[in-house]
Order: sequence, then structure tokens, then C-alpha cells
Amino acid sequence: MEERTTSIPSIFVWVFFFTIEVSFTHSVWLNLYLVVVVVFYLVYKKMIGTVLFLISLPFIPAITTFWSVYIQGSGITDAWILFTRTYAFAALGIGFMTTIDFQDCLLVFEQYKIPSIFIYGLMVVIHAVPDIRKEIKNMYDASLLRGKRLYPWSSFYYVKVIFLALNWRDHYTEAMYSRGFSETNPRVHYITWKISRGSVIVCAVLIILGNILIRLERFT
Amino acid sequence: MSRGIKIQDLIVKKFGGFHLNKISCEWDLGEFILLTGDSGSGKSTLIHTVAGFNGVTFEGNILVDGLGIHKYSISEKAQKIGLMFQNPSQQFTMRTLEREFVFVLENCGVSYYNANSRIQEAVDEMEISHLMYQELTTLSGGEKQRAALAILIALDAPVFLLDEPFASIDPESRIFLINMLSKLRDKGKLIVVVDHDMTHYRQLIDRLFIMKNGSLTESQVESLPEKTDVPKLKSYKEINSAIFTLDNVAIGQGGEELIKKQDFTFYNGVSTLTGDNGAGKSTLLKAMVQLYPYSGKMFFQEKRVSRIFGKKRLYKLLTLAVQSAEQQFVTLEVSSELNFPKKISNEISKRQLQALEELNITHLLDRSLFHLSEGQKKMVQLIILLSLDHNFLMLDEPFSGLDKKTCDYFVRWIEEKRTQTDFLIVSHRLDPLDGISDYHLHLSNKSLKEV
Repeated sequence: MEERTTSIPSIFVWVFFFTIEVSFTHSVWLNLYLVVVVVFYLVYKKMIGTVLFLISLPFIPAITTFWSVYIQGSGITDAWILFTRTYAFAALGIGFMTTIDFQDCLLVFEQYKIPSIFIYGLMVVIHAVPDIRKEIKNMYDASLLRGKRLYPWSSFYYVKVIFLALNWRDHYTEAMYSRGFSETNPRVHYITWKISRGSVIVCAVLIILGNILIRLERFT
Repeated sequence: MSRGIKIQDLIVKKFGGFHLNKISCEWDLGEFILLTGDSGSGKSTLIHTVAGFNGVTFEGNILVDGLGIHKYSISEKAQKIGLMFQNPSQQFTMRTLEREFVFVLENCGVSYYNANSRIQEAVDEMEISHLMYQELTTLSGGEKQRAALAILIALDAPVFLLDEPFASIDPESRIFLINMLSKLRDKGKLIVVVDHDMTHYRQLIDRLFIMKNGSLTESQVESLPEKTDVPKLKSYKEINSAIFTLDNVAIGQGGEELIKKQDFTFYNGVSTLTGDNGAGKSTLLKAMVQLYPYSGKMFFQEKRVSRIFGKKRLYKLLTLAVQSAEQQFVTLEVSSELNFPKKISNEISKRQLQALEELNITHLLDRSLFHLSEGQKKMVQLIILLSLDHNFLMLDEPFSGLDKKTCDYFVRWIEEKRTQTDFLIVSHRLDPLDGISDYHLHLSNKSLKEV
């Protein structure tokens, strides 16, 4: 047996916890704190492009919510809370996306008794996404080579993609069976995932800090 | 009792007719069997039915190791029969080869200790340790086939069924894999390979079977060609005029240089382009039809062509038959595909029907393109592109998956058209082009040269 440590469950719990807490509390500090934590992480990992993405992506929804609540709603305090909350959600999402490898994530979940058909079915679909994109590009090229430009609203795309999906489903089922995978067969596992202690500590500290901030905000 | 595969009166029905008609045969362990036959004759169906992973209903008996195929559970079956698809990328579940190994062996309940040694053995044998942690989608066709075979070796099934595994890989990889299969036979495995290209098999195989219209007959191994002559791909014509010119063209892929900056001129006539897998032949063709980025300038009939403007006009004059026929299709049915994007003239339609008749595939007209065999898809693709009038036609692997007779048919058609159309053909199979081709171009070390 091979043992591997993983921080996926800790991160998962961390993101899940704050998603709920942010939804039910009215704290600008907490929202800003989450954005700062994620930005620090991204800068540490030298993912400057993602930082810019995080700043620019939620801007329009954030500013429009701010504006409508400020003008029509209950005033500037609530407007700031919603503005920062939009950013906090985006930060949590991007933090989740950049820290977790999806394949590993599914494999860790398999250990927590999620049905393997679900795990591997999802895995196949995710690995097929680049193929589907390639297929769409190929279809555009193929049509152009015959003298007709296809547009995104062209029905040819949708009809063909549906048929391709049906066709691939059969191929993938046969492929997985030929690899010995079946819904009913018990599988053995070579890797046991252990939650890394460091990640538990870091996540716990971050959660406690966030909640201290909420209390401090009340006193100011 | 046979420890290999025994088939008794196997019948598979498809589209209301017999697709496999009362097939009986017995293949034993330690035999290397080549299964060949016309495109669409039922070879793939036979292989996939015998493997039994696709749930096709059949009449008759298929015995593996003395026991009916339906009596095995899926993971038992996977350990009895190793199946390799024509298109290996459709068979991988995981992202890297290392994960795929683990996935397969976990499914089959192999113990951790055994699994490690099996993986090591398979990797050493196929010489693929450098591919273990690469994303599978980034591997070339030949590398994917090696990886797929390594998985089967790790599974250690006594029977290997391979459905046209070498349809579009370079000769070196092909020879390596065929030799590897014969080594596996020497270790007592039963190997069944479907292939149209019969070169390199004669010395190695034990039995030869030919499939025709759903029936199977055994034939003499001695009837296979001994060794093919080196095909003649060059003729010396006097008058040459340039049709396509590359001026300082360089092509990159994923940050790496694929083709070095160079000038090159393609002349009229039929040119054959060869080169190893992954050398960039397909990419070069794509760049020439302005569907792949490049730096430099390209000229077609002395006019500058561009990736941005005038493509629709350009494709009235030149076009490309892509490597995988399925990717050439936009619609769902053969008949509507023939008439895409608008109704074709009577003259062209007549020529297409004539071709369908001569190739005996008129019954496919109202069928879905998804139900065609790989060879049939290729035929439809070539019929469409050859029946139209272009000045310059590029064909990427036009002969993969086609039997000899069909190849000859298309080669004759190319010969007929050569007065009005110039061709640039990329092919690993060179024998059909013997005596037809005027120029032999080779792409290696990132540069294009005339041989």
C-alpha cells in the first residue's frame, strides 16, 4: 500500500465553511480578509494572471449590486457588504479551482465511499472536454474547407455534438469494461490518502482568524 | 478442449441483414493470427463481439478458455481478453499512463505488490518509461499505441485482440509493435490482429484469415507478399510550374519549433510527403490551408494567401482531406453529406453515384455516418472530395483503413484527375502510390526536402 498525504479535504472544508459563513454574516472585514488570503496565496504561487482575473471578473456584478443597493436599497453599509461579498465568493471559487487537482480530488472522495461509477464516470467526462472542444473546432474547419462558414448559432453544431456524445458514450462504456471496470465489481485501492496535518492546522488557523475579525468589527 | 477462443456458428445481425454470417473457427494459445478483408466486411464487429465488452447481441457460441463468454464477470473477462481499439485515445480513462495502469489493475483486484512488478515489466518491455507521467492526450499516435499495448501486457491476459492498431502510425513504430506481438506469441499468448496492410507479417504469423461479406475463410500464409519493392515515388517530367510556395515559413507547436524557417516550392503533379510520426506533416497541411498559425508568407498560384481574408474563395480552388475521416463530416447522413453545403450539380452527383456503385456501397446512402466502419467513412470522404473540382487537393492519410481493391480504385481516380488537379498526399502506405507520384518530399529534422 502506498500512502499519500493530501490537503484536499481541509481545503474543501475551509471553502465550504466560509461560503456558508459569508452568506449568513454581514461583515465587510471577513469578505476582505478572504480576498486577501486568496490573493496572498496566488502571489506566493506566482499566479499573477489569476490575480488580475480575480480582480476583473467580479467587477461588473459587484459594482452593479453596489449601485442598486445604494440607490434603491438600504444604504451604503449594505452596499459595501454586497460589493465585497461578490468578491469573497469569487475568491473562494478561484482559490478552490487553483489549489485542487480535480483528478486527485475525485480519487480522495472515492475513499470516502462515494460510488466509483460516479467518480470514474465524471473523470471520463472531464477528460473528454478537450476532445469535445477540438471536435467543435474541427467541424468549423471542415465546413469552411467545403466553402461554408458555420456560426455559433448554426444547428449543425448542436445536432452533431448530441450524436457525438451518444456515440462516445458507447465507446467509453466499452473502453471502461475492457479495462475491467464495472459498476458492481469491488475494486482494490493501492493508494490510501491521508489528510496532511499541516493543512488541517493552516485551515483551522485561517477559520479562527476570520471569526476573530468578525468580533473585532463589532467593537469598532 | 481449446484454451484459446472457439467460435461456433456466430451470427450478428445489423440493419436487418446478416453482418456476421455463421462464423466458426478455433484459435489456440500460442498462435499469431492476421485477420484481413474488405472495408466493412465485419472484421471489427467480429473482434468486438468476441471480446464482448460492447454488449452486442449474437447467436451462436463464443468460448474463451472453454467457457462461454457471458459466464465471465467483466473484470474476469478483462483478464482473459485484452482488447485494443482502433483509436487508442478513446480507450484511456485517466489522464496519465501511470494512473491508467493503476486504474486497470485496481479494477482487476491485482495486489499492490504484484501490480508494481507488472507495471515495471510492461514499461520496460515497451520502452515507455519516459511517457509515464505525460498527459495521454499529448502523445503521438505511435506512442499512444505503445502505451495501450503496455496496458494489455500489464493485464496479462492470455488473448490479445487488436482492431487495426496500426492504421495511422509510421513504419518504424509499426514494425516495432508487430515484432513485440510476435514475442508475446512466443510467450504463449493468442494474438489476433486486424490489418489491411499485409507487409511485414509473412515471417511472423501462424495463420491468416480473410473476411468477406460476413464470412470467414482461412488462407495460406504463403499467399502474403514476401517483401514489397521500394515504391517508385519519383518521375522526371520536363515541365514544372510552381503551384504553392512557402516563403520564410516557420511553424511552431506548443512553444516548440515544429518546422524551421524555410523556403519551399510545390510543383504541379502528384507529390507524396513522408516523415515520421509527429514530424509535423498534418500540421504543415493545416497551415497550408490556412487553418493553423505560421510565420512567413505563402503563395498559391502566385497569389498571397492569408489566414484572415478570402478563405471561402480559396477553398473553391484548394482543399484538404483531413486524417480522421469523421472530422470531415458536418452533417449526419451520407446522402446529406454528399450534398453539403448546397445541392451539387447533376454531373458531380452522377460521378459520386458511379463511385458508390463501383465500390459496392450504394446501400450506405441513407445510413447515419456514425454507423459506418472506419474504412467506409474514409471512402465517403474521398468520394466527396475527389468528385468536386479543385485545382489543388491535399490528402492526409487517404489510404488508412482501406483494402487493396479500394485503394486501387481511388488511385485510378487520382490518375484520371491529374490533368486538372494537383495533389499533395501524406501517407504512411506508399505502395498504392507506386508509379503515380511525381515528387517525393520528406519532412525530417524540422525541414522539408525533396528526396
